[in-house]
Amino acid sequence: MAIETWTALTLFGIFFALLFVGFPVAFGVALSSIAAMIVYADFDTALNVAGQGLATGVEGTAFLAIPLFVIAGNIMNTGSIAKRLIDFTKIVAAPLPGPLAHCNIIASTLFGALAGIASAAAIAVGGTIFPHAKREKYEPEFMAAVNAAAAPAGLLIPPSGSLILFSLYSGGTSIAALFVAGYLPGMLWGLSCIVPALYFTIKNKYPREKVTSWSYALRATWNALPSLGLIVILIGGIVTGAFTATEAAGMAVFFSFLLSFAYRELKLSEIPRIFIDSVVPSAICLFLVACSGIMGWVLNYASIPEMISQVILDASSNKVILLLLINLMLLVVGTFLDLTPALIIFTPMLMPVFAQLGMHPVHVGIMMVFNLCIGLITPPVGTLLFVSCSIADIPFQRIIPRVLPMVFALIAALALVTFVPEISLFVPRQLGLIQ
Amino acid sequence: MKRLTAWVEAGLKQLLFVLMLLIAVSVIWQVISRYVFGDPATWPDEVARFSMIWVALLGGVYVYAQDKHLAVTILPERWAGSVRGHLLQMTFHVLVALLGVLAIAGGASVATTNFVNGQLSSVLNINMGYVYVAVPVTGALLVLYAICFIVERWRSACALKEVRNGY
Repeated sequence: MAIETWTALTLFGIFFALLFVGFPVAFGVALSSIAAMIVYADFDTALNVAGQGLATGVEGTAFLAIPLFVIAGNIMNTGSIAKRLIDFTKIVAAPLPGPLAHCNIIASTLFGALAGIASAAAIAVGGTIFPHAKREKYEPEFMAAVNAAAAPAGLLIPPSGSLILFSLYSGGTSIAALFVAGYLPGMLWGLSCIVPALYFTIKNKYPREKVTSWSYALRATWNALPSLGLIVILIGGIVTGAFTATEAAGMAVFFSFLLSFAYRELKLSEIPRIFIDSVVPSAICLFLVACSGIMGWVLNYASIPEMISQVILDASSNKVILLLLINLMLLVVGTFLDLTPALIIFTPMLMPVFAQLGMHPVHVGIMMVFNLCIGLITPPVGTLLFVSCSIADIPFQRIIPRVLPMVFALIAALALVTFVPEISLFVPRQLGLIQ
Repeated sequence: MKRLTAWVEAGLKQLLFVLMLLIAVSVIWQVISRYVFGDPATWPDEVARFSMIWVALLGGVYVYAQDKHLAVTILPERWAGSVRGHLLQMTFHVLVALLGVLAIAGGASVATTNFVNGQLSSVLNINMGYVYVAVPVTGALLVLYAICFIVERWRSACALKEVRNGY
């Protein structure tokens, strides 16, 4: 066998072996890459690549958006931004049976448009809405499932840390185009949660609320206006090219501080705590990025992505079958592996295949993020399920039957996103961001 | 040993706070200086980027110290509290120590090359060695924590065995 094949086998063999026995993913990426480099070249080169890769993996201004989004999300979590958004969504959701469930879904989608990380939305919206739902005798398992399932919508609706990662690892797909491309699929995500939720609330005869009065609607809109305005500034800035995504993330930090001060919900003395709380989530992601820096060198040296592309394209020449297989593989991967590492590891490997299949990189990005997001809410190891269960204070097994209908609806939606590129490409094309 | 790691962790926490603050302030200042004062500052980009490299690497150590790195925890959870569970975790920490040693060796050579060549950053004129030295430092801290965890797991495994043999 050629040396490249051995390199690839070492890389994947060690990586997956370590992954399944439970070794931390970031360290596994680093060790398997160093081992593969020893196979490909020699020990000294491998050492050099390790040193170089760890430092240069996180080089690049665009990665700065990640810690900044985490900080912004933490600031928004301390104040009443979530509550204001929930009150606002009641204007639409009140006439539906079980309005709080639908409020949760719509508010998560809106909050995602501010925060850019999914767990922030799940914590902020769930934490605000669950006590209220408990008083009104909503089933806690159902509410926890709704909250978990709706949160990833924010990773498709801009700004989104995941789409930024995709842009970087796919070789520079336009962030502005990816961002606006996420709107329709993000709404489709929300809809895929609302339909099963609606079925559940009708079947169990959840009460409706009175249609909100004009004065309530005006007041709620007025209260939510600064937060909604922030969305317009950020996305407007990115789409028109006034801000880079990183600068927009900086502005999200700045304006959410201003808002929280203006609402008198944040004291200056809380700032150190917010920044320290932001260290762990940021570092989990950035350290993975640093470790994947080593992997990047190996992939490049041994032309592994091209090799994978060859293997996959040899397997079948039917585009539909290939896309089904790739999506199935990613769904399985996403069940075990968190979105961030899965995106960092598989984007560079799969890009040549998608290019061969003639897919637009923006469409690929939306499809991959949509797919891997489903993994965040798929039992047995969905991150968001754990977050949501701990806020709702219910044992993990009980959320599973309630979340499965939404998972199936989302898989159906994924098929739409995969085979109807226009869902992803229509908006960026209308705005002239792509041809 | 315990006191040393606790002290290192407290130090890391302070340092990471300052670095995160630097990132936020630089990026915000970059936008404000451009749109409000019409005179874009050039330093924020490098300050933020170099701070981020340190946050990524030292933050990785901090997350490791708190055992919060992402992993597929099905097997470790099934074996939790048993002798083989402790031995599995011990093996993990041995591998992390190995990675730490590799990072020290590889990082030191990259950092020294930069120091010797006097490679300067384009705006701030900092020697790039000061940026790359984050790699060996991270390696050393990983080794320190890994050793601490290995000892801890070994003791727990031995204690469990003794309890079993006692019956």
